[in-house]
Amino acid sequence: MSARVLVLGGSGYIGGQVARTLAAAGGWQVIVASRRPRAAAGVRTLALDARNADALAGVVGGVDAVVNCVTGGPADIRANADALATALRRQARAPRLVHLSSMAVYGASTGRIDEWSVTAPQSGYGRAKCDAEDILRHCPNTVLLRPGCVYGPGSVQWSVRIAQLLRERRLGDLGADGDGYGNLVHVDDVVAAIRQSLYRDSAAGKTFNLSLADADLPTWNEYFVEFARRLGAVPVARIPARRLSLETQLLAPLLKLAELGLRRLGLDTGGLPPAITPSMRALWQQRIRLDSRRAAAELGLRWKPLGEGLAETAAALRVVPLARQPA
Amino acid sequence: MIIDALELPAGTELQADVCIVGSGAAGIALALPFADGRHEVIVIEAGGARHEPETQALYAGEVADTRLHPPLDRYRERRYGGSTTTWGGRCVPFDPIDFEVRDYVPHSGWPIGHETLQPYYARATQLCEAGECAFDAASAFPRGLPPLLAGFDSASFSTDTLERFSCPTDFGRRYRQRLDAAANLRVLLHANVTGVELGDDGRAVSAVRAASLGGKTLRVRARCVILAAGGLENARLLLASDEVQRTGIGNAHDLVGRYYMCHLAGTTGTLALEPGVAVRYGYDVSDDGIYCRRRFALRADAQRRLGVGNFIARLHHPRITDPAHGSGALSLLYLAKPFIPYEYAKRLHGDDAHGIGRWLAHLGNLVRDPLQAFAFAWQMLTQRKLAERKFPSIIIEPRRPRFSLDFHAEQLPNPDSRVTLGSERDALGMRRLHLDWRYRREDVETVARALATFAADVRASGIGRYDYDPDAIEAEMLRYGAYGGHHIGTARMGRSPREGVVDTNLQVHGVDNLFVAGAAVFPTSSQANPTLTIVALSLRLAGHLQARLAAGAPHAAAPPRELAA
Ligand SMILES: Cc1cc2nc3c(=O)[nH]c(=O)nc-3n(C[C@H](O)[C@H](O)[C@H](O)COP(=O)(O)OP(=O)(O)OC[C@H]3O[C@@H](n4cnc5c(N)ncnc54)[C@H](O)[C@@H]3O)c2cc1C
Repeated sequence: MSARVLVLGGSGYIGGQVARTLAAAGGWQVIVASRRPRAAAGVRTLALDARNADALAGVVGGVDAVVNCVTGGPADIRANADALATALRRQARAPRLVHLSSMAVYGASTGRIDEWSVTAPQSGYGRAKCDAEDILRHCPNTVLLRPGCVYGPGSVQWSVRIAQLLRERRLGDLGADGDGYGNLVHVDDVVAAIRQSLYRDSAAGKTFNLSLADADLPTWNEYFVEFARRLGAVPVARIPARRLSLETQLLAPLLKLAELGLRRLGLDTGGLPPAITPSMRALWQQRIRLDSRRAAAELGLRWKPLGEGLAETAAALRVVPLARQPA
Repeated sequence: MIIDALELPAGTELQADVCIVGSGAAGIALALPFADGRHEVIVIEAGGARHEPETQALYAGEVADTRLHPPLDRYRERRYGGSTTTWGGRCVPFDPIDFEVRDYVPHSGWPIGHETLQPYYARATQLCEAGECAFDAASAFPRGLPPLLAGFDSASFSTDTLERFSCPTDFGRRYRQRLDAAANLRVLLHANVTGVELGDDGRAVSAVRAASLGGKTLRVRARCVILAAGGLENARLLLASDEVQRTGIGNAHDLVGRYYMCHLAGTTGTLALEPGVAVRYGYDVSDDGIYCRRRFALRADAQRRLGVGNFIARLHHPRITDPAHGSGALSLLYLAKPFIPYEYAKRLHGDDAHGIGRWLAHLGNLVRDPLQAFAFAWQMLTQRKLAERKFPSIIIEPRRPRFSLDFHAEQLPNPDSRVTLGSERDALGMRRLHLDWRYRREDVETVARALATFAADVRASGIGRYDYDPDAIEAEMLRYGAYGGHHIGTARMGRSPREGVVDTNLQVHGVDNLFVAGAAVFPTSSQANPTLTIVALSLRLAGHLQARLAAGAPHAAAPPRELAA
């Protein structure tokens, strides 16, 4: 009989990819749990509030492994970690837990950062992710993964929105504002890391950074220029610092207000243009390089080269507008 | 870390692995690879963040013939970022022929080949913010471009090579954050190096001496010292540091300051095209967003056949000063002269005074052609003044297919063209430079033969004619004197101390830990503007120094006795 894996947050971007990949690979019976699960081929779905320990305890007892891809606001992140830890503690035999954390736990650190570097979260999100790690690290049989910026077909944050900004010429070569390193990791590599973390006994109790090898990390400028070229959003624009300040200080707050307004009216916010927030601007300047050698060595990963990943991503993005056209 | 030396206690002594003198293109390109690394680096910069007249005045010197060369405090900037605070941003790599020994060019040939430098051009182009290292039309424009000049069929000129443009990037501003953030880097502002001190045996630098205009002094001891103070000032520092080596450092064979080269440039003749001949005047923007421009480049085999130096020419608008062009935009530029920086106004207008009559004629052009002038002013405002990546130069499509030709030619090496120390001293007590720039008949020949070949090829192609006055070439190329801002050859690279001041690693022959960065080390000048190659050489030098330091190069030489006391 095949092993059973519970994917929490399974209708999110990474959770969804993990569920699909595991189901397609065979050998796993995949149960996808989320608040509003969507039916998908080859997986069982389950409506469940991952902040509720009792609800979780009811399912984690019956599985061999849990992949925790739950995300949300800081309170949700902490509540989920607490609930999950409580539920796991109630089990006689702990399933393998693969928990998706984030490079946000390193905050504004610079230089080369490995898994032993001190965490110094700055944002509410980063602090919550850090707390969640602390809560779950003490559960037996746990693997913590800290991905950098996850890009790839369908990645809203680092591919779809960036593509839109590049096409609108709101992004491009940012000069000194884009000198930070893009600690990018392709979604397929994140999924592969999760799979390996499920299989490998030696991974238990360990933490892994996930990003391109540090010699291959592009600067954000390089990422934007290369991506724009693949998208055909050329010639790439040079964005003056002045313009970025307008974006982060004027346009972003306005967009946030618009979003809140639309929400309140119960309307779809998907039509709003993406914002460039002050935290994005800070990240794009940050000279931080995740050292991902441990993941490469111990999880046996080979990072997908950026050029290849961007080519795929751009190709996927080109298909979308066509699909939207009326038949 | 960026530190103002004015805030350090007087008499400070600092230690580092690497000490770089100057924070222009050469110095910053050299410092950046060290950022966040294992080695301690100090950059000593004479100026502050802004242009300061008293600091700039330290650059003043004597010019033997002021018709031939601009004053020495012009066309270079003594401030953080150096002359990249004012440069035009034209990036062009050297050609393979520039490195070769050419039997028809005395003193030619570099001790390193094109292939040695080639690997550094990609990163250099990036640092200059000129995009990818693609300097031919086919690789920069894979979807193709219309021809530069349709029907121009020439075995002697290529129209495929590109110049790519930097923003133009002020290296100081652009890389400030990176220099400031690196804990192992210290950039000292307002610290003028006044001397390089050698150990008693003269074989290694023991300390670098600096002073601020406020009267403070400081000393830096380092395992390696690199002079990156610009093509003129590097020579001045070597010559002025004469306490141990009496003729100046590295000057045992009287080479320091000699072979001083600029470029030979001018605008001449009229290219009149037959109606309907397609011509691409101006810039093309590559996918990576860079302004690129093609030009007529004299091919290597044509240079050999003609026995001349390297040469390129660009299509150009008619001379601005002559109101006969009838262009409102050009007349606007004439009238706007008071608002254009000296360095640029000079080549736009010349220095000659013009009467009120001419001024009125230009005003007439403006009144008759206000739309063109307005469109031009709007472009200058939006694509130059307000843009971070600036439209590189003035492009005004002529009403009739008439152009002049703007040429930029190699100046051949000439030991008699030189800088020496003059008799006057600057405010810090350092002897000022005396500059005697010379050109030779062969330099005129480069331009004359290249233009004659161009004219013949235009005629033979049946697309029009290029008319020029062969007898006026010399006057034309000297109209504004030596091309400003390119200071080349004063500490040339050579395999042996007889042939050059520095060796192939840019180390001063015979001085174990002293290096020179910048165009001073170029043995020949090429057709190319120097900065891209300066940056490439600095990157190569950074690699060499890192390897050397990692291999455990010795610490600074023991100080001479009186200092140690
Ligand atoms: C108007 C103009 C246009 C130009 N356009 C182009 C172009 O289009 N393309 C191109 O390739 N090149 C161009 N150039 C040339 C270009 O600016 C130089 O090649 C380049 O800046 C040289 O770099 P460098 O670091 O060797 O010298 P610099 O940039 O001159 O820097 C030297 C630095 O050393 C410092 N310094 C000097 N003396 C001392 C001292 N005693 N102690 C401490 N510090 C000292 C100076 O303050 C300065 O910061 C142009 C120059 C000018 C003036």
